[in-house]
Amino acid sequence: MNDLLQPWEPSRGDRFDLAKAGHLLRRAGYGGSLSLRLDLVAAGVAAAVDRVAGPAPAAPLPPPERLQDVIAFGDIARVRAHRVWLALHGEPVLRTRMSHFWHGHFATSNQKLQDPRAMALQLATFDGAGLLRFDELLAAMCRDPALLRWLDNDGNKKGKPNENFARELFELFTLGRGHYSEADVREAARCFTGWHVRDGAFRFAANLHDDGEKELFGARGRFGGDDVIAAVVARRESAEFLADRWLRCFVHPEPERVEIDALAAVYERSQRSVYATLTTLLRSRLFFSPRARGAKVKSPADFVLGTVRALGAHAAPMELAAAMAALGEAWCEPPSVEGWHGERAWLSPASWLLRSNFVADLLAGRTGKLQPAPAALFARSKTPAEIANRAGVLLLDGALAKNDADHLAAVAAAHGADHAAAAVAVLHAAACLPDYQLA
Amino acid sequence: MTLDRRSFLQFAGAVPLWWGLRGGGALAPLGDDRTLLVLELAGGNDGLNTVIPVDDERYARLRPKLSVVRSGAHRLVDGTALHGALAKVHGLVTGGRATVLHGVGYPRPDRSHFRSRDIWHVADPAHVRVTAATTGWLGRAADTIARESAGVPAAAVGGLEVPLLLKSERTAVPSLRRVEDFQWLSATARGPVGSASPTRAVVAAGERAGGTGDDLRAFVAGTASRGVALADDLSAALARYRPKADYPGGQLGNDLRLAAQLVVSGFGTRLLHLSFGGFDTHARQLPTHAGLLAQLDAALAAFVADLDGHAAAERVVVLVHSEFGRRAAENASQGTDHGAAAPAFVLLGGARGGVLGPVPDLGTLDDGDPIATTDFRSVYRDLLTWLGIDAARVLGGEHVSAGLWGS
Amino acid sequence: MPFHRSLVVLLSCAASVVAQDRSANQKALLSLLPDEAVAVVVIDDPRLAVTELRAALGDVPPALREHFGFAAWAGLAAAWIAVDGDPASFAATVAGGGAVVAVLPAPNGPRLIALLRPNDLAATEAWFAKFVERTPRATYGELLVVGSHQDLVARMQRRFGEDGPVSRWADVDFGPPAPLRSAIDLASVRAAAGEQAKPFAEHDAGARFLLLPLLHAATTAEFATFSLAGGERLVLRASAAASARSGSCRDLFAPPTASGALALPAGGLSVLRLDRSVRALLAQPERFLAPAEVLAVQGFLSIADAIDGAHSSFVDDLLGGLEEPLALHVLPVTPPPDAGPSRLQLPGFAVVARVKDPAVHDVLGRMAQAFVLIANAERQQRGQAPFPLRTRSTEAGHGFVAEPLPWRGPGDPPIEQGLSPTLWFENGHVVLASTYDAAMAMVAATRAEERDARGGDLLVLRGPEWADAIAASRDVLETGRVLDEGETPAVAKRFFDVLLVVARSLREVALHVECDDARATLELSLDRVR
Repeated sequence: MNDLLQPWEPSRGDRFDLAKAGHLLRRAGYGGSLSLRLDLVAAGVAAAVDRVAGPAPAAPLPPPERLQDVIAFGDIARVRAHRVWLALHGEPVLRTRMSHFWHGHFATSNQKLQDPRAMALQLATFDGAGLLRFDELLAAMCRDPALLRWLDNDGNKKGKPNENFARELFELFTLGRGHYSEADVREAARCFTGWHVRDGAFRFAANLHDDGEKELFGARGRFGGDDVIAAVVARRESAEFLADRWLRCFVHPEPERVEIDALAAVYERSQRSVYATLTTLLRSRLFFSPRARGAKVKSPADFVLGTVRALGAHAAPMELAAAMAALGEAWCEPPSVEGWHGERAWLSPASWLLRSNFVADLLAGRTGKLQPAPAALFARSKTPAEIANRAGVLLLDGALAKNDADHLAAVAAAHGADHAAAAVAVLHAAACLPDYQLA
Repeated sequence: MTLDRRSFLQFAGAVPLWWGLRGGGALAPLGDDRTLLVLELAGGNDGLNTVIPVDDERYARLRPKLSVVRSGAHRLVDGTALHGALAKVHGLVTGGRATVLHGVGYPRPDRSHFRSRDIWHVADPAHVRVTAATTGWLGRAADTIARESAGVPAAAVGGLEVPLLLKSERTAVPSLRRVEDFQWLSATARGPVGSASPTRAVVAAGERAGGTGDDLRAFVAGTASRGVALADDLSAALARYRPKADYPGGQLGNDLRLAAQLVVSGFGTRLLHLSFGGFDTHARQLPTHAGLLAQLDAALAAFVADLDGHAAAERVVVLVHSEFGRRAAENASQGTDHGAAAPAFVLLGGARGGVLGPVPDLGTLDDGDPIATTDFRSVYRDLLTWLGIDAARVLGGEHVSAGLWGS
Repeated sequence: MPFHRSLVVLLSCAASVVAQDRSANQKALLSLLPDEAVAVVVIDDPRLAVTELRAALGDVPPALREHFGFAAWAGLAAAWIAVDGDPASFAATVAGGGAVVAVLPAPNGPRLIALLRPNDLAATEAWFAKFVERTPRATYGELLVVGSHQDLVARMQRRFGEDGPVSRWADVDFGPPAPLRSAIDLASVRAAAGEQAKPFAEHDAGARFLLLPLLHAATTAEFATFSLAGGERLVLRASAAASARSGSCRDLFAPPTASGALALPAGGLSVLRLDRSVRALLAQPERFLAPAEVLAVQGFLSIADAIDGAHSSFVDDLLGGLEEPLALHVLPVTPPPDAGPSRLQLPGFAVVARVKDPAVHDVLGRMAQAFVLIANAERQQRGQAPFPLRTRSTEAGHGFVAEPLPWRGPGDPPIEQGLSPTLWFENGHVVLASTYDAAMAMVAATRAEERDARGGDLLVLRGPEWADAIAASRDVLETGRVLDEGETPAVAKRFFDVLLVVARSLREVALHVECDDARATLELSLDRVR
């Protein structure tokens, strides 16, 4: 099925409707307000993907707004809140989604580093280079002070190589288990000797670098770290590794072989351009197929940020970041080197309660002000049925079964003439529907 | 403006996993679930002034000023005596309901608060560094009982963070500061969603419809229903509790009352941890230590009386310990410095009561500290066995019994 | 004893016409107020009050006007039209002969009743009819009664016609003359608050210590009087006949000192001085604190005493060697000499105390070294550069300075690059400051010996100096509001625009609390930049 990644075109029976625009925004970003979704519908699928992905980056993008202010605070909670703020307001949305993807990919935790500045700068590197060619991103990451210290490459020197960095590079960042040998790890470790951090910045300590001859993936030479990068990104396994990860992120938690192969091929043909690969994917028949829709469980970030964006509102980023952390996703502190495992593991009876309570607190104004107030979104909905329908459109792109719509109407009716309370209660109830937990 | 601005549940471990509720939300029957409460005295409790070797002259020579606590101390059968402030605990010991274990520690003692506490929490004296994958002994215990137990198998009471000893591989362990943390909140009013609220119908309908849909939707709908049931069960169970004793004011009293609430409510939480701090008495120890022990005495006595009042005392055991004791000799500031082995207390649970283990030998000191005569893992082993949990699996090996329930 | 109140009113009106005796006027009005009122405001001469207060408040700063939203402009314009552009004359028309306002407690919120003696009753009635038609009101003779609820007004009308006891408020002492005076029946307010009004001993230890005179007065005094006066400064005064110096807490006040308190140096932002003896509190905590609080103090002392080991006692040697009360001065931001400033700059903080016992030099010196050692060890664990501690001396003084190493990292320097914690001994004083410059500024202040005549507790804020400090870190502070409060960048910017304009227009705001053997007094003053 090689037309999986061909652009999806709308047809009579299969339009680019609100549901598809919502799906695009939820996967490529962190959701969007109703007016944004309607804009995308009006613009059509091609323009919508362009809007979501932004223009193709030719060079690293400028650093995110207010980065230096956040670093001045010296506080990881504000770094986290800043990322939340960017996820709520940053454009293009794909850039912030991919920064977070790479954050989970190169999972570096502040719990060990205790260095908010370095974490903020690492995340800014993802903002700048996350959509470029993977070679460029990887080269930047191998020089990233936070990553080097996280993987103990500071102690990697000639005569006493430390294999941690090289091993994780192969196992977690580029190839996956089984696609490299122990010898490759040892030799790659030698290549990265002297890649150190001084005064918070990358420094190549030539006197500590082992520049002897090495054998890597069958080739011999006096290789250095950049040669490792060049060698590893060229391998087919690397394309498949990344393709698998991207499919899990954007399409379905269990990608099929044909899907991986097709996406890896696109990646390689585009000279390993992350932007080109992902825009192809987002435009594709696979992406808009029933297989992809509603296939993933919302992560805490998807749930928290998606709810705020769906209501077209803004709320205090510090509070939202704390809510996400309480739900199990504390940005800048991934629980393990493998980032965050997700899908069904996000949901348990207790975490479902927390998610519902987050929505209740948000709507009731208990997590700081939500502006505009939710009731304002229901100005033109008068009857309980209209209120229920409106909530369905805001939170579920209108995909509300008749049965559920009736129950929501009953919730609205129970508040009688108190329109504002009815609106809030219906939104809370709609967020308790199973479909609302799915991305 | 950080996490503590609101009272969310905090989860230890990497990922919250689902907790089942036994069949349709039925609660664990009382009497069946034995519960362990670990009360940690944080800072390093001075064991020699808690369980005082009153008849040993070496004690007076090592502590010219601090040995004044001998007067007013409550005698025990083996020639030691409990600090004067521990009157009610003394009553429990002589009445056979509490056990004093001398000299609990581990080989090659570490005198750093953090490292020693980690060692007790991980149950591994060779433990070097905490990583994301490190688990605690109660966390591992929670993992083994998670399938069998209903609701929440383990919880940290009080405090924001869940401590290392409760860190588990699979089981989600919350930190509870107030009972209200577990409610299903309403968006339109303060407090929980009402029992007649039509929002419940939305969740219920979701489950019915989900059953016919695809697997993922059914999973989500089922989780939602169980979440609502979880909140309802805990609220109902906790509402049945009324304290049957007067707890002293202050943090320890409040935390022990919450712990009693969890135990009595029959909700199935079997492993609890509580911390009571301030024991790092490097200077001016006498008044500080006396005050702390007085609080401890009053709060523990209230806890026992409360459990007695609810006929729950038989199925609860309490371990009171500290990450290390303090040096045998006093220092120049009328205080003591970090030490090693120290006595621990075990209350209730039908443990043998009285005094256990040889009195610490002040003639043979290891770098200024009495030598440990009981490995703390032996104590853990006995506690886990009483709970019906596979101790060898949790502790990663066999350990001899400490003799808490006979030989 | 019953009176013919109507007779009283008529007589007092006659008296006022003849003798312009305002106090008799006011007594007459006060005698009519319901006994259950818990607070009463008396305005003897509304025209004068309006004139003085307007003079003290000054004009709205021009820069602030652009931030008024349309609604605020519309409201102001409507109010201006209503008073015909001349508030003082309006006040005279409506209540030229005096006014009293009473506040009555009620479950749903306070209810108000006002008795006015207008200069021109007919004009006043016409004004009400035109602008606030629905306000409950009634006239009696030349009195106008206005209330928040119709039933209140009706009740007052009935009282005019009846004989009945004179209100207790007629005998209340409202204090010395002032444009606006008020008395609050604290006992009744506490009774009305029921459970929520805790006795003194049940309040939080921090509140009891920091707010000692005020909290004591609020919880024990029967009455409190307030007055508002204008002119050059706007001054709010409050006074209550209850003194914390009369009970066991008297020892919490600092012993009297021969020299007065050091004034805030020119250019300084704030000074905070609490007339307390921290030493007395820590030496005998069980006298002043609840058992759990005593434990906390003991815990603190067991660590504080351990820092200098067996050499000294925190309470006796360190605190005992210093003359209390201590004061905290906040001084201007001084950017560090190298590599440019951090985007977030702190003002300088300094605590200065006169030395009683020179032995305290060694105690403080050892403690400083111990602290810096611990702090540097922690910094090293986090991969941060240490702050080496150096001794320094000049001709007249000596001390310790912990200065950061030059910043070589990527990006702007962190906030601590601007710090140089300093402990300095000079001129019989010891100064502990966050920067060397701040320490030297305070040393200069001790030499200049400028005293602040105000004793007791004092908090002074100098608006323009604070504005400069905030402006220096404005970008970061705005980002803080965006992240913490969820404001949009535009709203955050406007917040600081308004804050800076307001701050620059206030030369000084001062809160001064004094407590002698019989009374507690508070003075809040506001001094405009002119």
